[in-house]
Amino acid sequence: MKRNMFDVTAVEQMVRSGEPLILAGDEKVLSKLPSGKWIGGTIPYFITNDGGAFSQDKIYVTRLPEYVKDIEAKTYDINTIDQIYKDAPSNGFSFIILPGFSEIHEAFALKSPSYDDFASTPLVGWISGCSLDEMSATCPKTYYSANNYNDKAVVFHIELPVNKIADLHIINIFQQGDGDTIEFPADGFSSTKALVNGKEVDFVKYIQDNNIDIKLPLVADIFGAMINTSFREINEAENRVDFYAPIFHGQKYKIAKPVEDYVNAFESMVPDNLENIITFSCNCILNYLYADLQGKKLKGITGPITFGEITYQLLNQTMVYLEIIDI
Amino acid sequence: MLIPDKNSAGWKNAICKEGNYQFEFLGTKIILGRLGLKYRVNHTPQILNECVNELWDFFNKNSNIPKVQNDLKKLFG
Repeated sequence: MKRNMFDVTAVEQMVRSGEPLILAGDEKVLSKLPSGKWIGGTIPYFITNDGGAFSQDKIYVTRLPEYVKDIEAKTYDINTIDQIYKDAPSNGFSFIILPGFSEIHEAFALKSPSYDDFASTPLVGWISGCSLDEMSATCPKTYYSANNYNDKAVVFHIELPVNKIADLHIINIFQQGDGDTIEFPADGFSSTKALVNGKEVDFVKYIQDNNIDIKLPLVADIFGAMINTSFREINEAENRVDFYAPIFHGQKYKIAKPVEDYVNAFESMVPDNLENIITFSCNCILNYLYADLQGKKLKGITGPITFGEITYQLLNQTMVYLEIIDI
Repeated sequence: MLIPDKNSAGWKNAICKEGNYQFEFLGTKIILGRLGLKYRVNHTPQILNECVNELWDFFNKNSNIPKVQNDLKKLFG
């Protein structure tokens, strides 16, 4: 396979060879790399061949297949990110990394479904992060060559030969529960009110009165694709519920069914030998934390643990993967 | 399967009706979920036409993908 963890010296050699690379690693190591044809994002959490791991001295490397026809590297800021789909190749996919907790992260999360040509070509990627113990001292960043940003998305637009296509997948162990149907009066990252089975309620009070475990996400069923929105916190001072991804007006949500054992649930959903066909995958920091994935293997599937996953739009508490298939 | 004309009723039905389609391609699920939601919160003829155009463009652009072809058959039989 073309994905693995390497130390800085090895990655430096790959960069100097001119090979296009997609990198994930702590700022301490990404900042040591020379200029070259690479994009990256900061994160020190990974699922490796040995299981979930925290590392600030190794870099997760995704190498692109030799048959890739062309790669255009670009950065986008808050004023240009809405062009991401229009800039995509006619046959291929785009790979994006956004800096976590940034204005552009929020804008993409909220507005990407309204961008011109939304979902017309595959867009996959992730939200960068940092050590949870260092969040007061640093912030998530993205890298385009040796330049780092906390306000720009970095993108590879990747053109494939006509006989190959990019196919995106999500593996979500969460399913809608059997409880109430929840809707929200407006798009946003927070809400004070909700419509529960059509009746307006104070959403904080609803969560508390019903003893809802906010480690379980809200789940929207979109033609069988289960799309999560994770709870961030109950802000009692402002009587508001905050989320890690936007809720959308008109979308019907349910609280997820509880999951007894993440690893077992995950493994039951993953076909054997999936790792051998994956070009890229990532999984969510909330899954890593809530399921205590440190040291645990996920059927051999490796990748960065991220502060948000992207397949066409922002997702939460989900594993995503890219497969390139022959047609 | 050729892409049906934009005036074919199947496009509007796909957007207006929350049918129990079992699509194969994730992009089909995502775009149709988004367009259905867009129309649900603002169900005017103008928005419906915009949605039909977007959906048609999606299928036209991805018509070389076998899973998208299968999804098209689910919409139009």
